[in-house]
Amino acid sequence: MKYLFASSKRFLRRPAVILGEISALALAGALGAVWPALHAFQSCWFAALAVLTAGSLAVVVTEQFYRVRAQWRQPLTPAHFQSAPFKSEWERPAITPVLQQKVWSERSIGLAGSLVFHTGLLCLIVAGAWRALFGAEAVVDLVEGETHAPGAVWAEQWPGIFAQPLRLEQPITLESVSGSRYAGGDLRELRAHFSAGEIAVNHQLVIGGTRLYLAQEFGPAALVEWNHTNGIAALLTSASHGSFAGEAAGPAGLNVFFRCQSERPTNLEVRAMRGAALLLATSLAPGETLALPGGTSLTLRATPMWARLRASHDSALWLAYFGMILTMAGAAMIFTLIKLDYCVIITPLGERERVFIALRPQRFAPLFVERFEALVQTHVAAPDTAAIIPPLPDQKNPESSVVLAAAGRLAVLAGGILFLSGCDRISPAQAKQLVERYNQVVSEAYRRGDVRLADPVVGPNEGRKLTGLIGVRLDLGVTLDSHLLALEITGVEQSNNELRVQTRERWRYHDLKIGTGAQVGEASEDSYVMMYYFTNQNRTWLVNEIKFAAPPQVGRKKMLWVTDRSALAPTNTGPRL
Amino acid sequence: MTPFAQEIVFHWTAVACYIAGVIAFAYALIFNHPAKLARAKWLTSAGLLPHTVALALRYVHVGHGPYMMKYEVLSSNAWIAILMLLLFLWRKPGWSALALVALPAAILMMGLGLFTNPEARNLPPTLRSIWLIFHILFNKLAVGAFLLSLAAAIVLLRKLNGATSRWLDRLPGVEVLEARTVRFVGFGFVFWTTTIGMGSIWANQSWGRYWGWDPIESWSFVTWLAYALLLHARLFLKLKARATAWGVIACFGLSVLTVLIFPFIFPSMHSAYFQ
Repeated sequence: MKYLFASSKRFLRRPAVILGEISALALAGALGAVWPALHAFQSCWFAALAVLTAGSLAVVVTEQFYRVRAQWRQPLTPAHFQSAPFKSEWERPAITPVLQQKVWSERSIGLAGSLVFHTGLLCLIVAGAWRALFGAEAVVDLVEGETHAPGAVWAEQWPGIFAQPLRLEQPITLESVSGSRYAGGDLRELRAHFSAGEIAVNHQLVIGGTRLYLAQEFGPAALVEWNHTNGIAALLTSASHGSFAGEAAGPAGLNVFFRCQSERPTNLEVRAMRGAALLLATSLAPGETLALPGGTSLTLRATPMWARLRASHDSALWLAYFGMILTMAGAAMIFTLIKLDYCVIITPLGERERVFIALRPQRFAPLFVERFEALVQTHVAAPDTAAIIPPLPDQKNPESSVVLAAAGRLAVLAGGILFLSGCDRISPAQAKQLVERYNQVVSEAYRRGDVRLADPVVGPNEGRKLTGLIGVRLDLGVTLDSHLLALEITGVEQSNNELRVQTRERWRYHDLKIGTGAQVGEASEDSYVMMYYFTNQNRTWLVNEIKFAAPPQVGRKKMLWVTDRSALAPTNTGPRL
Repeated sequence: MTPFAQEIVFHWTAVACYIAGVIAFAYALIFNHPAKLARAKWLTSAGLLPHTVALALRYVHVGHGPYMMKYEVLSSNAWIAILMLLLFLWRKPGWSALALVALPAAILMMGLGLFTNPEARNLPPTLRSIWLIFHILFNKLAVGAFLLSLAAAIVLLRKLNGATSRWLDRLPGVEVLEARTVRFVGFGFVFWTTTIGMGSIWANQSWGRYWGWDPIESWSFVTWLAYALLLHARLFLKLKARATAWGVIACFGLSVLTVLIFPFIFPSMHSAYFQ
C-alpha cells in the first residue's frame, strides 16, 4: 500500500504527466468551446482529467509546502553562494582590520508564490467539484403578486449529482417589478421587490443558503381565462422595436398571440389563430372578453409584470473565492516578488583586504545584472565585471536585410489580422439559412396578417412592400398560408455590406378566409427563380429587396383579386390594428 | 463640430503622432542616432494626449468606459499597450528596439478599431458592475504585457538567427532578452489570471455561477493554460531561447484569437458586448 502511494505520488509529480495534464485540459477546453454539443465538460473523461490534475496539484502543493518551510527555516550562510550566478572577488587597500561578513535576503515572501498559486488552483478544483456534486441551480418565472412557496416546483432545475432538489427556506412573493431605461429606450436597470427584500440585476438576495438573482428576462404578462374557467398567464417577452410579444394555447387548437408597446400596457393587440387560419385580430383591455368562433371565449383579466428569478445553492462558494484570491496573489508573487540572496564578505589581509560579493536571485537571474553591478559599485570604484556580462552574438547579417525581414513579418502579421477581422464571407450554407429564416418569418407574417413580425428580417424597402401586400390581403378579408417545398441556392455574391443570393424555389400557397379559415380560391404550387438583396445593418443581414430573376411559373389559373368577390364576404376582421 | 467628429479628429491625430513616433524610432535605431531616441519617445508620448482626450470624449458621449464595441475596446487596448511600452522604455531606455514591433502592432490594433462601427451602445444592466471595470482593466493590461512579450520574442528570434544591426546590438544579450520575454509573459499571465478571477466574481454576481463554460470563458481558460504550459515547459524541459520565443508568439496568437476573433465566431454571452 505504501509502495502504491509512493509510486502514485512519483507518477503525479512527473513533469511529463503535469505537462500532459495542462495540454489535455487545454484541448478539452478548445473542444468544449468549438463543439458544445459534445458536452465535453460534463463527460466522464473530463472528470477523470480533473481528478488527475487535482492529484498532481495536491502532490505539488505538499512538496512545495515542505520545501518552502525548509528553506524558510534554513539560515543563509556564505556556503549557499557557491553556485550563485553573480560573484565577484577582488583585493583593495584595507579599510577595516576585522572580518566582515554579511548575508541577507530580500523579498523572501516570494518563495511562497508557487505554493500559494497551486494551493489556490487546488481550492478552485475542489470547489468546482463540490458544486458539480452538491450544488444546485433553478429558475422560475414569477408574476407580480405570485408567491413561490418552499415546496413549489421550479420551471427548470439543475441539481448536482448528489444534491437535493433546490428548496427555498421561506415563501417569497413578487410584489413589483420596475425598470429604468436610457433616453433611447434601452434597459438601464431592473429591480424586483419581493416580500423578503429587493433583488436587482447584479444585486443578489440571500435566503438561508440559497442566493436569488434577477435575470434580464421580464415583461408584461397576460392573465387570461378560456371560457371563464381555465386561467393561464401568457408571458410577453421583449421583441423588436421595444415591443413585447407572447402567445397562449387555448382549447380546440386555438392559439392566441399577444403584443404590446410598453411594460405596463392599457390594452393588448390580440390575434387568434387556429392552425394556419387567422380567426380575428383585435385589441383587448383588461376585463374585456373576446368571443371566438366555435363558442369559445377569452377574457383578459390583468396585465401585471413578470420577472425571471434564478436561484443557486453552492456551499463551496467561499472556497472558490478563497481559491481565486490565492491564485491571483500567488501568480503575482511568482513574477513580482523574486527572492534575492546577498553576500558580502570582507577578509583582512594585512594592509589589503579581499572583498567577495555574490547575488543569488531565485529566478530570472539575467535580469539582475544591473543590481549586482550596483552592489559591486558600492564596494569598489571600477570593478571588473566583464566575466558576468554575457558576450554579444556574432554579427553576420547586413542591416538592410534585417529591416526588410522585420517589415515583411510585420506586414504578414498585419495582413493576417486584417484577413481574420474581415472574415465575414457568407457561405452558400449560411446564405441558405438566411433565406430560409426570411421565408419562415415572412410566411408567418402573411399567415397572421401581421407585417410587424417581419421587422427582424426586412429592411425599409422590402418592409414597405410587405406592408402593402399583407394590407391588401387583409382588406380582402384573407390571409396567405404558404409552405416552402424546395429551396436551392444557385448563386451567392457579396460586396462590402451587400449580399445577393439567387435561389430556385418551389412553394405551395392557398388563401384562407379570416374568421373561418376556409380556403378561398384554388391552391397553387409555384416555382420561382428569385434574387434576394440583403444589406448588413448592425451585423444583421436584412432583406432589402426581392426580385424575380426569371418569369415565375404559377400553378393556379385565377388570381385572388379576379375571383368571385362573393366568396370573400361577409368577413369580420375586428378592428384593424 | 459634433462630439463624435471631435473624437475622430483626436483619434487620427494620435495615430499620426504614433506613426511619426515609429518613424523616429526607426530612424534613431537603424541609422544609429541614439540621441534622437528621446525625440521618438516624446513624439509617441505626444500621441497619448489626443488619444486620451478621444477616449475621454467617448466616455462622456456614451456614458461608460471602453467595454463594448470593437471601436472603443481596440482603441483603449492600444492606449494601454503604448502607455506600458513608454513606461518600460522610461525605466529601461536600452530596450527601445521593442518599440519597432510593439508600436506598429498597437497602431494596427487602433486602426482596426477605427474602421469598425462606432455607433454608441448603452450598457445593459448586467454590465453595470464594478467587477466589469476590473475585468476589462486587467484584460487590457494583459494584452499590453503580451504585446511587449511578443515584441521581445521577435527581437530575440532576430538575435538568435544571427541578425545584426546597430539597434539590435544596443539590446542586451540573448539570456537577458529571453528572461525579459518570459517576465513579460509572467506579468501578462498575472493580469490574465486576474481578468478571469474578476470575471468569475462578476459572473457569479450577475448569473449566479462563477464559471459556466461559455465559449469565450473556455477560450480564455485555454489561453491561460497555453501560457501556463509554456511557463511549465520552460521550467521542466529547460526550453531553449528559440523554443521559448516561438512559444510566446504562438500563445500571443491564441490570445489575439480569444480576444478579437472568437467572440465573433462562437455564439457566446460575451459576443453581444463586443460587436
